[in-house]
Amino acid sequence: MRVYFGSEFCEYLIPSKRELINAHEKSLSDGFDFTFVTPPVTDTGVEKLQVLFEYLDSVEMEIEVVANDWGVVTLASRFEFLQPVMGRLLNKMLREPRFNTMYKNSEVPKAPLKIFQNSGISSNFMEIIKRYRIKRIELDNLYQGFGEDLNLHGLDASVYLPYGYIASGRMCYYAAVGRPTEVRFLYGRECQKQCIGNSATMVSEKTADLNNIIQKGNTVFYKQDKTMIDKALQWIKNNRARVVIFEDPIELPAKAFENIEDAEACLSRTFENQRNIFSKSYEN
Amino acid sequence: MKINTPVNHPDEVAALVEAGSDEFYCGYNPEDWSEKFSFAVWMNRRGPGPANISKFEDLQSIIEQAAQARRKVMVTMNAPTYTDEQRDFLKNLVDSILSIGGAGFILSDIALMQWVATTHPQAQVIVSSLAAVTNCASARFYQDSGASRIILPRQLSISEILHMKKNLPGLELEAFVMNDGCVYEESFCSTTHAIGAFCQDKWKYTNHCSNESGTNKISEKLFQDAIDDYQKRIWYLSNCGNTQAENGAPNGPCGLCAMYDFHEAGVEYLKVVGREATTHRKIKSVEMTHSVLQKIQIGADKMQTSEFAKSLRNFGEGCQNGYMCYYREPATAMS
Repeated sequence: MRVYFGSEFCEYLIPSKRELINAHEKSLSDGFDFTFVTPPVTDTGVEKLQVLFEYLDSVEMEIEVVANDWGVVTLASRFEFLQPVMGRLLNKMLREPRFNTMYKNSEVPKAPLKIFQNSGISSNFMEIIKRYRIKRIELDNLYQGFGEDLNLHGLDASVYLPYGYIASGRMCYYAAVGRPTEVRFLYGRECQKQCIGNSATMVSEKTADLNNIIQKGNTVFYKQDKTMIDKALQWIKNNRARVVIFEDPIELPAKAFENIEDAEACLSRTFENQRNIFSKSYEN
Repeated sequence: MKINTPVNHPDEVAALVEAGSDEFYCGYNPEDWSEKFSFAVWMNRRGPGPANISKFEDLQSIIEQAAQARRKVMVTMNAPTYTDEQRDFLKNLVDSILSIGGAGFILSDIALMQWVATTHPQAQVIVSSLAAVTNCASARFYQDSGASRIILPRQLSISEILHMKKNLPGLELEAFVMNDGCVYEESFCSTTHAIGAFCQDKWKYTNHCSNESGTNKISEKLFQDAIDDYQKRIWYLSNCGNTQAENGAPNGPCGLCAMYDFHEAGVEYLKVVGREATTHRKIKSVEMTHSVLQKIQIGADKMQTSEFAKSLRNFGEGCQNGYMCYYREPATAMS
């Protein structure tokens, strides 16, 4: 098993050096591999990550760094023992929950569907990212599924279950809770991290049939139902991909498996836990 | 500091030059793109409707008129990413556009960017805000891929932009100044506006606390209060329901007060947004930006610049609460 630890979407949630050391040492003592997840960052975030990368590199064991910012990719690639991974935010495949019914009813014409199911990875693209030693790409389990001709050009793949990300940014209403109006939605200020332990369900007329859109922190997610997950597991089996399972969309650690049976067992436990916590809103 | 302006019709060029445009950008979406890939797959960040020019002769006319006024025209090819088949289509377009005098391209797909920079060194490569360049290391990554200018994303503070400008010699920066905000960071929104903006849907939000005894337990009242302001901010970012002030000034996201800091720091370009906007909206936006720039150039200080910008806006509430600002610091600090 592998542990994913860090922050994928928000600079404010980058762990401290002490938190990183504790998480890494625990994964080592538990016998797990370690992947450090990083968000898009400003220059302030780059400085924080520089310190954390120096620590991880000093361990002198290969450690994956999931980067969601090309600046972070270049930074991580300079460290001998860090292995940059292309994160979900750098993978621009369409995640449009409002197309869900059209996909289910096969109403999306072949031409656009072929594009929506494919990625921008090409031989030309590979030439660029190979300079940064990228060997793996992180994928969401898409409503439209992965196309038969999806060509990752030799990149290893990880598929994230059961939450797919829809949209993210710095304008966060959880950061605004309890703050005076005049300091809400300012960028680069302190954050009370009130997203931890909280999440919001989002319902609109266009997604009324889904009942699975949630916002956690600064990011909106869709939770996949069993049909979607079963379809993804089949693709994962066929393509020998890694499964990354989140009990919570942003509160890490998450668990990753190369073995599909272990992943399935973990998934059923995850769903059981979430039924207890979000019995009404998140039930699929 | 130059003003970069959207254009979608040859008839707009002269009026926009007169209003103060220093450079143009546009989208060219030929009909055979939509025939090949469908209307649901957009060639650039805007749909194949009024935001884009569909006739090559119209693009040619825009470029010719701009050249006569000694202005350059950049063409957007800034969908978040392209497949190989789409890139092949665009590569042919790049050749055609350069052959009629197009100066460069606004790009976000790294593979296409690298190809343009390598095969057409005469073309200027500009990184779209869709690439979300929020730090110097990311800017240098794109510079290494052939870019000479970065259009900064909307969700940066003034101090973050000034820091980047100071640390990126040799790379031009362009900052948003008027119109069309985004709720999410554009680069990290994986939905499509083909069925309307996801953020504009009428969402109902309900908070759930996973830890009943947790220190972060949020009351319904506090949560709803934050959501009310969030929705207010969304309205301002969405051009205030496409309204305008009594003096005809277009309401909507605005960075006029920030121009003083950008000017002092040496930010090279200001971006007026809205390729599909009415000609009136474009002209008014450029005129206002140009007026503020002139004020700065004749010696206005930061406070004077801000006061002048607000007087042009003539939209008291929007300027006072700062929710209409791209860069909220100056409005908040000075109001």
